[in-house]
Amino acid sequence: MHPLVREALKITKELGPVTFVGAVAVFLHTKNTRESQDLDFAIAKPITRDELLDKGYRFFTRNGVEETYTPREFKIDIYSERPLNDISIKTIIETSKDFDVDRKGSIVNAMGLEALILAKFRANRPTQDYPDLRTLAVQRLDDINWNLLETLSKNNAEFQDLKNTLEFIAKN
Amino acid sequence: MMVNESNLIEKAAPGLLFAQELAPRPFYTIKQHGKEIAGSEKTAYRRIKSLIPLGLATFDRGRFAIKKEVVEQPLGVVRKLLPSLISLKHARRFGRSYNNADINFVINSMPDTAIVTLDFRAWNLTRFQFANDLYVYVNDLEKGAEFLKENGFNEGSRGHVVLLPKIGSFDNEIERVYLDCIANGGRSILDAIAIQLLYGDQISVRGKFSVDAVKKVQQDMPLEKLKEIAPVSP
Repeated sequence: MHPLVREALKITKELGPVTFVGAVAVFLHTKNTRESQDLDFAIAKPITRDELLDKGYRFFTRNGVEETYTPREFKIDIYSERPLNDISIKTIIETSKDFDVDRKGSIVNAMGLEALILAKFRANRPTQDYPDLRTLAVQRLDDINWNLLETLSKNNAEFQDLKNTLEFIAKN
Repeated sequence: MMVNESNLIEKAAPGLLFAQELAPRPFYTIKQHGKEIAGSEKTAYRRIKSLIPLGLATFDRGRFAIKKEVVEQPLGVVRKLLPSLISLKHARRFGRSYNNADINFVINSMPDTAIVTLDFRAWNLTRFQFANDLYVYVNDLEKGAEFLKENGFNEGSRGHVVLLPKIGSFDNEIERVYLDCIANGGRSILDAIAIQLLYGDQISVRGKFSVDAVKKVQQDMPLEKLKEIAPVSP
């Protein structure tokens, strides 16, 4: 099992239902990506600092910013209220997908393909989002639910731009 | 393989300036974005065409993509990147099982003269991003390809083993990996930043990176590595 997925499974067991976004989601949809050792996830019910401390999670301050780490020293970022690239937590959870990650029936929940693609497109960072978009387009173009993607998009212009982008980068 | 640096740079310079002017997008159209910057579609096409031999642009039916974070590098850095860019342009990709077994096979059977770069070497140096593809410099690309094919590998775009021709200097191995990472663009830029943060005293070139990308690496560097560059207070 990929180390990030193993960690995602442990987090799910410790914190309950969470929806992974970013690195873990890209990996689960493609099995083929490069990611740093940080995990981002959305959670419907906010989790308190004390609850995290009770479960062995730790807090460090780096350059004046407090960061949260799992008991196994993986950095995490929790989305419970703030939207992710203008996609609400409610939408992320409602459109999420369960992935079987081993032969024992263990499941990790991650952002759905369409919401993930839209989030990456909106983030627009050449060093991270373009390669991820490319991987998603090359491997999953035929699986995209275009109606759902259109519904999630802000307007028709954004949807068309995204559709053209995916079709181009899937081939080039 | 020899590289005529000044000739290549001279040819690509107007294309680099053109590409630097484009706002970051996953792809552009000649009609809209290209014409806006170059003045005409014909000039835009010429500019893009000059970047293709260096692997800095791809073009298909009036649409094009640019390795934005690579073309943003100062000319002095681009000059240093040339051997890496040309090696990557001639890269050949192979796969057999399309999983880690392919990588293990090549690691166990490659000659001592082969040199690993990019994903796996960056991971060894920084522990920042998990590796995906095995990039290996070989003395003879044709012989290397033949060896893989004899052992059941197919050449294509999906494999995880990438053979590269040895072009340029490998005297300073860490610097070469750093330059390869910049030349490869995409997520390899984050590897380059991580290498610069951890091994800055061993590299003489300094790439130009976006503040966001540097912040991302600083924020996501594993704790074990971070302790080597900055104190972390609990």
